Amino acid sequence: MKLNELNLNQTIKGLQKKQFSSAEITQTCLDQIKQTNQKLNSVITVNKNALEEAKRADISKPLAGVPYLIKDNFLTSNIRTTASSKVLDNFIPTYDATVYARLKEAGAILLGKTNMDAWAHGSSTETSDYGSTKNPWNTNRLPGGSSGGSAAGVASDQCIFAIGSETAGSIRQPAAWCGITGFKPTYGRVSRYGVIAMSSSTDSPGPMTKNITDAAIITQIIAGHDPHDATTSPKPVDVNLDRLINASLKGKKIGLPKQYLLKEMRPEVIDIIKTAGKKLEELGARVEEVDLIDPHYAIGAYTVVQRSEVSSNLGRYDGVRYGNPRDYFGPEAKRRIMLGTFALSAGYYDQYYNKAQKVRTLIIKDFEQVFSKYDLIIGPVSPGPALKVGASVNQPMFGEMEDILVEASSIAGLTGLSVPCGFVDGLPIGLQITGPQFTEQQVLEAGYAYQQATDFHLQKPKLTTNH
Amino acid sequence: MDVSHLAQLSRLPLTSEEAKKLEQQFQETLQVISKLDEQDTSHISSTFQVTGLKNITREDKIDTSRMFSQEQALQNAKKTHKGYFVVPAIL
Repeated sequence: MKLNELNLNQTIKGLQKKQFSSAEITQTCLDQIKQTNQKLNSVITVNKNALEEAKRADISKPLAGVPYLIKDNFLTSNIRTTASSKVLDNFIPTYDATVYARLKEAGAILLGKTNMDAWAHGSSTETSDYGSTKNPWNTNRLPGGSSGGSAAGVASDQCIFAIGSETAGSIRQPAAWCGITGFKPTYGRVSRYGVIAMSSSTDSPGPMTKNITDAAIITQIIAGHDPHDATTSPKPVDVNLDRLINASLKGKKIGLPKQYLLKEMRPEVIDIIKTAGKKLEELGARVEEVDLIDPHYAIGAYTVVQRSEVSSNLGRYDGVRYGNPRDYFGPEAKRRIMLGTFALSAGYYDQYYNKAQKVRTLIIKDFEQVFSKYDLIIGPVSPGPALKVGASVNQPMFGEMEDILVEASSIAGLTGLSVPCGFVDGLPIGLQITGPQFTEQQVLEAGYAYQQATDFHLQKPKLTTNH
Repeated sequence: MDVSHLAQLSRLPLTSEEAKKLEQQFQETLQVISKLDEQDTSHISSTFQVTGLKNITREDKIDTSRMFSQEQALQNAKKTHKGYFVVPAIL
């Protein structure tokens, strides 16, 4: 096995036991990026100082010397940060996102910034102003989005782990399409300070990794109250590795929403999800079908809330203090800004923005009702496997339709993950495991138990050119 | 829906071609959103944020370690003049 193919836990142990050096594993990752990036286009900017930093890695730190990738909407001092938009083509941040600062303090080595849908507006990575990222399982397919670059980077072993962010599916969906583990902590569990804002009431940074243990380790490092982000929770971070590896699903009640097995879904996908449910039952859980509010309402609520918040957040790009002028915005960004402006404008605010926030309340209450009887919810992450390159072009509602199964849990600020659970046409399928706010430990434990009993997460793409 | 008015409110330059295309695309989006009207929310209050937190404040103290120098504050600006940002003429 090449060093870049190791997972986080193996890397930490290998470095501690001095089986290899940080410089060696960092170089292997940089080589992999060099060899595969032209095909995958997952990394926008490589950190020129990565190798130097690796050579100086301090082994006493928890993530000392571990090389990783971060989505290009996280501010990294002195390293170009673009949010995949030409508006920020030459932007060099003068301060660090809290997530980046915490990983730096823990000793991790930043390899580079990953491609994404521009401003995180999408579920394909096709709206990037730097070209789309390709899916490592089949380069004629999309990686999903908006954290497509990070997902592809992990799936193709360009790094040991990556960081993404989710507003409604942007961690879980690319994780599902790229066959990796994606974890979205509760809104407010991880600081948004220094993350280029998309939809401030739902944006949630989170780890994208090769397995659950890795996701838990990263969550411990990046999560927790941040005085610079007033929406972060003062609750202590409940993620414990000892309890994780001794996790049992005995007695857990899990709901599988009927409404998440969409009419238009391929029967193979439904079968895979039902099989995953049976596996969880073998592990001791009780899995039952439940009723949830029609996810199409979540699409409407999310669409309005997100675009409204986007229109406000992107108002700061004036081309005066930083960045290029507003005519550098791509078509998707313009669409969203204008729809948001409309929903917030006089005469329409009540009908659209306020209405959406009321439906948001209904969705939150609906989950509360289900979680009063069930510990967790499972279902597919996405209506199907990765779509072909070009699928999102000229589809103004593409992202929202693809994220139909994860929008509700996102606007309710819940926590959830995506783990690989099967393949259709040689493309990965993801299982979502979703829990109430601040039940990160429970959600991770369920994912861990599932991965102990399956090997879908151990499969890797072949990265051959002919598809 | 007056697309040119919205473009002006959003400070986004649009060609008349783009405006026409956008009008069509907005109709599609508004149709999806209109589904919200099916839900009776007359007795429901809005949720603007899901943390339940209220009035989070900090001490009114200056942390000099987090201050930008003038150079840092200006470093990403396209046009500066003797330590000032140069802004486009408004009148």
